[in-house]
Amino acid sequence: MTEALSTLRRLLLPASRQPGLVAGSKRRLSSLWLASLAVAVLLLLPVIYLLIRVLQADAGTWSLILSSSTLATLGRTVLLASAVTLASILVALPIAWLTTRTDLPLKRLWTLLTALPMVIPSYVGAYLIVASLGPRGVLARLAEHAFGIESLPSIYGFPGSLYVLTLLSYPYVLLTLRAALQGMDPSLEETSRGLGQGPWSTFWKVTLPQLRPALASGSLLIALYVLRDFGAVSIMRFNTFTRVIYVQYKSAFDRASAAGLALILVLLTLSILYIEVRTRTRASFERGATDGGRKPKVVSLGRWRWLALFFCAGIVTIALLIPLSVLFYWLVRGINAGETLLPLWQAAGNSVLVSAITALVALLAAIPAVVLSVRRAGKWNQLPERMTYTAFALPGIVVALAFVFFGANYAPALYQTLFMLILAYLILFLPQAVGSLQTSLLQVPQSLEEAARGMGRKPWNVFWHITFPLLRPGVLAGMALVFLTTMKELPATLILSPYNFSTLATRVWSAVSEAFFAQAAAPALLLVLTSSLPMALILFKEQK
Amino acid sequence: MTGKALELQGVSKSFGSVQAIHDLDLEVAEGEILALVGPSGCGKTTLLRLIAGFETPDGGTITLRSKVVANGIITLPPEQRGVGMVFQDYALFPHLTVAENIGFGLDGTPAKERHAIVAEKLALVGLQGYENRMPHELSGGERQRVALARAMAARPVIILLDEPFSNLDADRRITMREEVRSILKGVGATAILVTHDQEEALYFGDTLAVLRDGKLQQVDTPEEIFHNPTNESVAEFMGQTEFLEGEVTSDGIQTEVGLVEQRVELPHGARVQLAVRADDVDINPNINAAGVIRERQFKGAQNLYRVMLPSGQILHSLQPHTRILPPGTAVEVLLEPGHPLACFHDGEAIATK
Repeated sequence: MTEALSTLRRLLLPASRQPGLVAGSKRRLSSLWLASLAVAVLLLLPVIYLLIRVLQADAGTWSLILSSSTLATLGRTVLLASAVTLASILVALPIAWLTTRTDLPLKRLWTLLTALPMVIPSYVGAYLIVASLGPRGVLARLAEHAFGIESLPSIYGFPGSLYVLTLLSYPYVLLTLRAALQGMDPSLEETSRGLGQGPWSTFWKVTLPQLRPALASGSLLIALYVLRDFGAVSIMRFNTFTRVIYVQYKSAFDRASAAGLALILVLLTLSILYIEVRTRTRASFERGATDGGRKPKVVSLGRWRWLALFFCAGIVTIALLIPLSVLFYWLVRGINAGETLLPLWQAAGNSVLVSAITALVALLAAIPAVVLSVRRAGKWNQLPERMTYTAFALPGIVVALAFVFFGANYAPALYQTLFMLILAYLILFLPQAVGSLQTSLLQVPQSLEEAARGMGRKPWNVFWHITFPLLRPGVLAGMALVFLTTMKELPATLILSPYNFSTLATRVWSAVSEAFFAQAAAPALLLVLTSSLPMALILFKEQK
Repeated sequence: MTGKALELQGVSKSFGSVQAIHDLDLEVAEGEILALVGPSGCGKTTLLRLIAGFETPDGGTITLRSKVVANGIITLPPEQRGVGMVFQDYALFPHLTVAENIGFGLDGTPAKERHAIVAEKLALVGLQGYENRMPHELSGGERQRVALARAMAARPVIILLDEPFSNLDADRRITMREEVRSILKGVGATAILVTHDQEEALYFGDTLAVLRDGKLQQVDTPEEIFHNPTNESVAEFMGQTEFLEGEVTSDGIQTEVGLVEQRVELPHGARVQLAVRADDVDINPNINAAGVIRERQFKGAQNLYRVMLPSGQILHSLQPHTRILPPGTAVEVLLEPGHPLACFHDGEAIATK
């Protein structure tokens, strides 16, 4: 998600500021343009349809959409997003500083462990909290046996949602803060010290202001995460938009008002995205010339390091150690109770199948738009690539709903088929393929392609022999990213899957819904393991 | 020097409202090296890309060895033009070996012949045995030579070099440009070198073309351009020139530092500007003189003095490294060039009688 979002910054930059633009022959331009426009229009279809549905709603539906209960939902959603963001900063800022600027022992280990919780899908995280602190949970029983506490305060609702989402999403702001602290020009702080400012005043007057862009973009990532989240709030039974929409759709089959709510959610997401893009654009200008590899001075913690260690260890215990222990506890219990693993393999196979197809299709769909936007000048050539980013405004549940409406009315033959499911995935995850492809294409100097053309090779030949081989890392990264996020996706899978088609995600969901904690453990573990792969890759890169 | 390798007639190109190349005519003869020089943003890289086929001209004709490659209606793509290009960043394919890079444009050629050509070109640039190296294993100068060998491998009509030395450090730059020039001359290649460095242009080109604001200011031999620039902007660009105000009289041109005995075809009383370089100016300490030394720049073999005249006019004077005068010294300024100075009226050159 972070990687794909980083390319968003270009959305607001004028085309002339982007490198490597050239006019090509007219014929080639139009075929590329048509191909990428076709993809972009396909992606926009469900949103347009959703809009039409809402506009066609009758007066009764409108009053429902604009009722006080909707306002309350809006309030809850905004409250949760703000609270999670604030809590995440409080957790992340000290860790970021400790792991980049001090002599904290085992820095690398803490860096890895504190970033890891982000690989846990939100519904798995929520499941593990419920399975430990909920009414039949491990820790709840422990408390009952050991201390005679008959009932813990309920974790459902706001507190549980805040707790889970903070622990899963603080790494987003942690990563942006770490990057900012590492990339900061040390001579700025040194200059401040040289001008007579002490370490504390330097931190407040020089360091912190420079962290502001990173803080802002990290916070917005978290706010987006919360807005789009369906799994955690549903398991925690906290009525934010995503859950209300799902309940509305599922129980009342009231599609027009579900669509209306979905549209409000999209507007909310869009406004956050708008702020996010604005901040990022500004942030990139604020970063001055940095002084190559020079590292800032390491702050000696002295006896404070015990407190620092305790803080890091505490966060890792709560966010990682306890959930994972609980996971293994239920896994072992399940196996002992004779839980059969056979249906699990089928679900895993389904997950891998749809995710692999989605990754491949996303790659093919991304190439024309990316080549067009990077290699050709002009507003119109940027359009298709920018249109692929609509998905950022669309929580999975919204895309799923749009397809349900569209399929039920216009394409019943496609409704609840793999085709439609993969199309929905494509809309949701194409930006990730586009993002990583674009990043790598920008790193391939255009002069390489021109040199090859000058040596007598035709455009397609050049693409195949020069551009594509050099793009390979980006292609692989993009496909891996799409593959793994597809594996994790819950609401779209839940709503659009063919009948009797279960994946790892839906298996966790249905088991948790019925409080079969043991049954959810094995698929949850598989999901956590697969999601850890890209994380490991990112961390390896950072340490190089 | 027989036929024309390249001919441009009335070529124009604009990007939006910016006119990058304006109605430009240019010829390059077979075996000629043309240095295209001008300040940054003057359109020289655009001109190169128009010739190579990476840009399409809005109008005008481009002819390569009597084959029209662009005339406003048809535009041949780069791969059908036979133009070898050496890029500023060399543009070596990072995933291919040196031999594969050089042989890249020879894909229709039988393998055996291709190997022979690659070996021959490598020998030409002095990199025998480098066939299996990867680009990242080469130094800057070696990359430069591979890029040159690659550009020459397919026997192009013309080789275009786009600021090829700007990524090298100062020492390497001078040796590389000598080396590249002698390689090109050795095989009788036709080439255009684009540069913003007038000294490099003076050294490299058989012919110099000075480009400014998308228009050719002057095309001539280096000596001619240096000594007889057609207008002030060429004179200014060709370096270290001050313009000294003067008035045409019957004896010559009367200036602030005395009479310059040089007769021009202008009525008496006309105002002219003389292009004065540091080696045209001599200075002598003289307490009664009005010129004052403001600064001495030690250049190693020489001292460069900055002298201010009473009007505020600045002149530079080049003196031997042994002649040291402190700033503040009053000096008499003598203009004794020993050759006619370039003289301008309203920005255009005026012939000396």
